[in-house]
Amino acid sequence: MDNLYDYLHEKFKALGGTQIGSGLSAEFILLAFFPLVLIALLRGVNDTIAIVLALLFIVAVVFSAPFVVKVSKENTDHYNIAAFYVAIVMGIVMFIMLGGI
Amino acid sequence: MNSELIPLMVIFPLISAILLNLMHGKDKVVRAYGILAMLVVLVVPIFASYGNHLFGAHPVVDTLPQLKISLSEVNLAIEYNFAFLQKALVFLLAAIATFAVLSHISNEKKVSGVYLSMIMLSIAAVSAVVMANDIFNMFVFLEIMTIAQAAIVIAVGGVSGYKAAFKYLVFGGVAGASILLGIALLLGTFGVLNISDLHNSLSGNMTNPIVLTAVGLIVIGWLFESGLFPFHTIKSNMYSAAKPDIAALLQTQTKIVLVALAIVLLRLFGGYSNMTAVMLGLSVGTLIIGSVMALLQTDFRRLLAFTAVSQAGLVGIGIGLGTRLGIAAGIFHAINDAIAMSLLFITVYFIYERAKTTEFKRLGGLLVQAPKLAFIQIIGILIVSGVPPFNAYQSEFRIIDATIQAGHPELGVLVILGTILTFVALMKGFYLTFLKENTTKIALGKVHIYNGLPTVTYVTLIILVIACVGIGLFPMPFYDRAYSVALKILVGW
Repeated sequence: MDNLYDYLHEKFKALGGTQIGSGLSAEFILLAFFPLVLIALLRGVNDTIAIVLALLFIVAVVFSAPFVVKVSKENTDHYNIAAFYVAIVMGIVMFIMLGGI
Repeated sequence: MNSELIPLMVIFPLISAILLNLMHGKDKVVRAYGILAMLVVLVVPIFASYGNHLFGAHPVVDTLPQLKISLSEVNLAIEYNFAFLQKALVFLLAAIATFAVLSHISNEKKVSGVYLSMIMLSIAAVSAVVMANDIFNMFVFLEIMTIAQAAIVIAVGGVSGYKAAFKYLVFGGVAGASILLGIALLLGTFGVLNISDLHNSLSGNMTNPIVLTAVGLIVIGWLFESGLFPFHTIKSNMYSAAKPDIAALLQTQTKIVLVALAIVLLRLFGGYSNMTAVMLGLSVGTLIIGSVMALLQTDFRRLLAFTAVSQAGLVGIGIGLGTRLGIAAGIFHAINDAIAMSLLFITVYFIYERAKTTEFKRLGGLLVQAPKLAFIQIIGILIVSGVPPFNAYQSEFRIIDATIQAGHPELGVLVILGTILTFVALMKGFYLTFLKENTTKIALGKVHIYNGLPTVTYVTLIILVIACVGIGLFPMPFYDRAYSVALKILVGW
């Protein structure tokens, strides 16, 4: 457990002063968020696809956690990051609206 | 009771904005006129009777065949609608704006006429957006609102304010252009701008690719005006760069515009499931990312800014469900949350005014010095977190209920997770401000957060708490009205 704390402490340093408790709470919520969104999206799809995606999600958790550091870096006030996401979302929204999905 | 008062809710703040600009530098005159103007802004929505107002009094005319308009009747005039929802939203806006104006007048040695002028301009713009039944008129006032909001943040001064306002204007330009292009496509296709006429023209035309492009463009504009993903960082930056009293006003305006624009979108394109799916998906993302980001902040203003953004996501979830229950709960939550978040922003405003900082590392131990403020803030935290018997409980409960009724129980779980995270984030802020041991000189030696709050702040906080408890105990008069609006949206205006 001590090792885990040290590991997270090291990882959360990048967040600049955020407490370990806050980071962990946010991390757990994110870990719950992604599978719930997957369920919401894939409930109508067949079981095989759902199982494959669930396994992919587990792999992503093992290799990418903690997510909170990455989420925090992608949600800063930087102009370029905001512009990137605005451009991506504008494209996706138009794609969906025009019947792409 | 006079329906002629309807346009006054826009025209009076506009004229006041011009006058206050001219009065700038004459301190006593600005103070006196500022107070008088806010009284008028507060009173007019109360006494205005429900109805429609046609600017220029142009009647409904028969169709114009040479313009290839398919409708048998066309509204020529710019039309403003005023019913209970508009009354509630305009009054809420006026109430929060009154606090912002009074706090500026009572706290500043020299009152800025330009600053008050921009607040007036934003009130006029948001009131017009709420009432306009003309999509182009709505767009014009959205642009005015964006500029006024940026100006208010710039007026605070400081590099962070300039940066936030600059980004807001740049992305506002993108969103504004997007909305305008969408409107142009609709105008080019159907030849009308009146929202009721557009609704009639659109029925049966939702497969037209030009219309679908217009839907996408206007939805992108809605995302910006509502501060939803991917514009959430822009909005939260604006809230945190503004003084907390102005942040309270800005987030109230955002929630009001979110509802007003969403109603227009649902009235025009409500039957298009891809649109509601986009609204719902991005709202869910905003709720969770906003809550997560709130928890990671090291400054109380930024924490509240992200909380306000995540709550906008919650409103968006209700509306994005597209069901009667969901839309009604979303509208209801927008009103409740605007009040509750204003309460929290005002408590932080008080800390900011006295300590000149809201960074957690420089705060702490304020419970001893300001127990009343701590008590009110903990009530505010309970309200925003959806704890009974307060108002946000009534609306959050209904949103969760609506997700289940709509067949999306996993979204209900996400709403609960987001709410829990909001509570944890706010409690963290409370702990670090009021309960944590005081270790810095600035908090112990120089700053005195006296128990007695300034009268304006104290009265405002009490009124907001009473409003939260009142709506929480007697929600039906408000919820029923929100439900009837939802019915009108889905069945026909």
